[in-house]
Amino acid sequence: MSEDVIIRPKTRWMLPAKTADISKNRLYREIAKRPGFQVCLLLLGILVVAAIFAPYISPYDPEAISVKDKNQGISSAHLFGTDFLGRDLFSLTLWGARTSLLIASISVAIALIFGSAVGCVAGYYGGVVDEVLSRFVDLLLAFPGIIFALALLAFMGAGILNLIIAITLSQWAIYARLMRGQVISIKNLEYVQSAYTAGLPDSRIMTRHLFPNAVMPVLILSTIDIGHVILSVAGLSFLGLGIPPGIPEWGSMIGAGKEFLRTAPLNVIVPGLAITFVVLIFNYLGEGLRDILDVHKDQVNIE
Amino acid sequence: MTLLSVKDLNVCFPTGEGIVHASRDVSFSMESGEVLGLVGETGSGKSVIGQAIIRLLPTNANITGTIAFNGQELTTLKDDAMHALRGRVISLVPQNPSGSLDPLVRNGMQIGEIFIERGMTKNTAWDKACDLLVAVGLIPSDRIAKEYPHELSGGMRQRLTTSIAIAEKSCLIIADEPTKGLDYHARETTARVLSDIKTRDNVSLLLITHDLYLAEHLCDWIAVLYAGEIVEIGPAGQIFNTPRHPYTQALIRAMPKNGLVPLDGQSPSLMAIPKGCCFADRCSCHSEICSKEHPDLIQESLNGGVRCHHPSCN
Amino acid sequence: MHYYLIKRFGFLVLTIIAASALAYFMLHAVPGETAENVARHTIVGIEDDVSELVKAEISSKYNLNDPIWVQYTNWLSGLIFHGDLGSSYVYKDTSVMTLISLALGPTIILAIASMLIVIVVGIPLGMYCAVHENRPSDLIVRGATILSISFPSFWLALMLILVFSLTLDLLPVAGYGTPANIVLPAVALALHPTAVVIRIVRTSMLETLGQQYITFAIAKGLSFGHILWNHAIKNALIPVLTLLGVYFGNLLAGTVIIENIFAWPGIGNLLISSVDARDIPVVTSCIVVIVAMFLIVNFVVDLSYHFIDPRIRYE
Repeated sequence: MSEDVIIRPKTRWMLPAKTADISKNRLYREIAKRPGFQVCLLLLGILVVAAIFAPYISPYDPEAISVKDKNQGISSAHLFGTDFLGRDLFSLTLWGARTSLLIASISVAIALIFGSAVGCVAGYYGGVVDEVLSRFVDLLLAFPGIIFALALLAFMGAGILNLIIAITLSQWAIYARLMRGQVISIKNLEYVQSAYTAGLPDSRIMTRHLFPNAVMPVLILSTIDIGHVILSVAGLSFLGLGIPPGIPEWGSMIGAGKEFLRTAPLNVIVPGLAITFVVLIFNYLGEGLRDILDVHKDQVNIE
Repeated sequence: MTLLSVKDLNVCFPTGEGIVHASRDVSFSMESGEVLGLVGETGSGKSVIGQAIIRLLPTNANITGTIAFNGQELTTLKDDAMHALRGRVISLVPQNPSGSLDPLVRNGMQIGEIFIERGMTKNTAWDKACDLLVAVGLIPSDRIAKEYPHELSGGMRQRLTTSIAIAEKSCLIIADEPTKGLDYHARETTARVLSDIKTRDNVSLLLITHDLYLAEHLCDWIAVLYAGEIVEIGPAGQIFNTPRHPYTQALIRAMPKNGLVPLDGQSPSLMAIPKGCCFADRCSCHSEICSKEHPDLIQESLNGGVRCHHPSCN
Repeated sequence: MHYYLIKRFGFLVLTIIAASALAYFMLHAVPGETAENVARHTIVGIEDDVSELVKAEISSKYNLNDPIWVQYTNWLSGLIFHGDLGSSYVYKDTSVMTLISLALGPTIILAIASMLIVIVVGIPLGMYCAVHENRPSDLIVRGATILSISFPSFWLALMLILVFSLTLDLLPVAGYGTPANIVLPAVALALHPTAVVIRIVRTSMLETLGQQYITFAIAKGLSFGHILWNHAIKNALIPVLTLLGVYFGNLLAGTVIIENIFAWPGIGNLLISSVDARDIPVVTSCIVVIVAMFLIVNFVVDLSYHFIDPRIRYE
């Protein structure tokens, strides 16, 4: 490590900060500067299309069991090989994308809407309302990671709907907390105060002024959160608590395939790579969005 | 003998929005034991000059020109040789003392660590630090040494950073805006501490300030900066009594004791320097040539010079 | 300070109790079903309908006929006054406390081992990246971290088994007892938080290196090593500490899956097997224990600031 590494200060000569400007034009310009981000957007688009049209694209019926073809390697007939029941792994993985993306996007969307609404109300009204809502949010956040969803599923049993409910209930608190902080930081700004002074009803101030201006970091969080939720769903299904058998899902594919780890590792490798690939896209997109909109570095990651 | 000689110093910063010309064609020299004041408003590039001398500019700075210190060229000096000069031969009293003190280190250790680095024991270093605190009037020194920076007032922090600058017998002390953000009383104390330093053996002081009172009080020489270049340089008495550049005149008129006459307009952006005289837009006696031709710093006598097409026009 | 400590501690206890209530109500919400489930899992030979008689017997044995809040109050007072968490439905009426105390040790060992990896690998690598900002080594490590946070930890665990146990035959597939057993689960568990810590340490370190006190330390003539150790690292690690507390929670949650894969006899394994067996008292207790561990670690992290950052004085 040579001395010149640190011997000069690391600060950059900076121009005075400009007002936060997230106009559409700037967004396009910033995206145009980032080829990696564009590639990820493209990949995400392809993925969504592939998931929607999985029934037409997949070369085999994912449910078609054919014991004589079991645990085959990679071949031209079976792109990713076959699983322990002789099902085509490529088709299964494609169908699994449907399940993962569907569950993740629905539960994150509900958690985002509900959580930010609660956070907005808590931050705007303050006082007792805020105290009660915030304490409840704190309580939910005392359950680390997937523990809350796991407890709910332990009671409700596996199933797509139950999984969506469990994930939503365990995720909304994060959005509530972030939104509350955002709202508190902007509610004393002049334009909100003047809207208040002008006698606009609370609901209008919240929907027209607070929410749109506070929502950007929440949206960035949701991008990264989709990745997290895909991981959680896969984990819960791996444990047999998420998706019931019969529905193609990556986590349960790994869970079922782990018995064949020694003899037919493709059973595990293929769905795992699929998860990694999709989560990587969302992480990268979230990271890129954060750079583009320049929300405080790494803060979104914290919670 | 000439201690420091700066010639044609140019500093610019490439940024996403364009190139910032923070300092242009700055030349001056200092003798041992002298005090030179660099005065100018915020954004006139005066701090950049101090940082360029002690080589603490950010990594993206682009520097040309020469800085000769005791006959040694600083701009091309090897990093470790430069490092050996810092704190020992050239010291800095930093701008913003609050941000310049490590919040997790006791006041005594902020000074003492310098001596520990030089091989002293912890106890000797601590005692020497306490002596220095006394020297800048931070009493009772043993209590203050045990406290943390956040427990001091702004003026006391300023004195603490000053005491760090005089910890070793440096030949040159660069004081960067030592009175910025201080109240009247703290300013007085800082001025007293700095003039104490001045009377010490052969220390030269490069005083970077926008505080004309302080400059008048302390400096032997004054260089007035505007938009990154020196517009007038000369002995302090001459600058304050017979200013020749319209900007210097305006600055002096703006001092409270002279009636607080404000100067209209804004200095040009450092990213878009005008072709002619930088001050032309705001000058009461500008003529056609001012907006066409950039004036040179005219050396009228041994006692400095002025960068103006119509010097002493008011 | 004492007042603050007592207040914080009181709040900690209240949160744990509230969390236990939430977990308890969530899991005991449907009383009739509970008795039926217990019967199905404990009495051999019951296939279709569980007779009302059996249900009633089980219900009265575990006081399932009381209103749920009475059950909860009894459970809580048992915990507070007798250190009793009730008895398991499945493990032949073993006390839950016994099961938990047997499982707690392995989980704490695994969590500490992983946390050590996170700290020993994450912090130095984060520092290294900051000091070598935007050089090839920094870019490689950053690329590796974004890849690492995208791996599902349970899949990574299986891949580790595939490579190091099944193919190279270096480490045991699963089990508990020897030091070799802990390597794979600890690594699998640590990867995700390590990647996050690298990124956060890097950011924090870069921010610290840009501070004026670092510039001034250079102007003082201090050496590179001195500035790094005595000024930069200390200041950069302060915000990281809070996050280590938060990530300890994720690590605890992660043990649930990882312990299951490696047959590690900890809380996570106990939790999953109890969920499978619908052994509600054990599930509730495991969840409460995990939440309590998470909250206690964060409480300790909070208090430790008092000793690290002189600016913080609790009134």
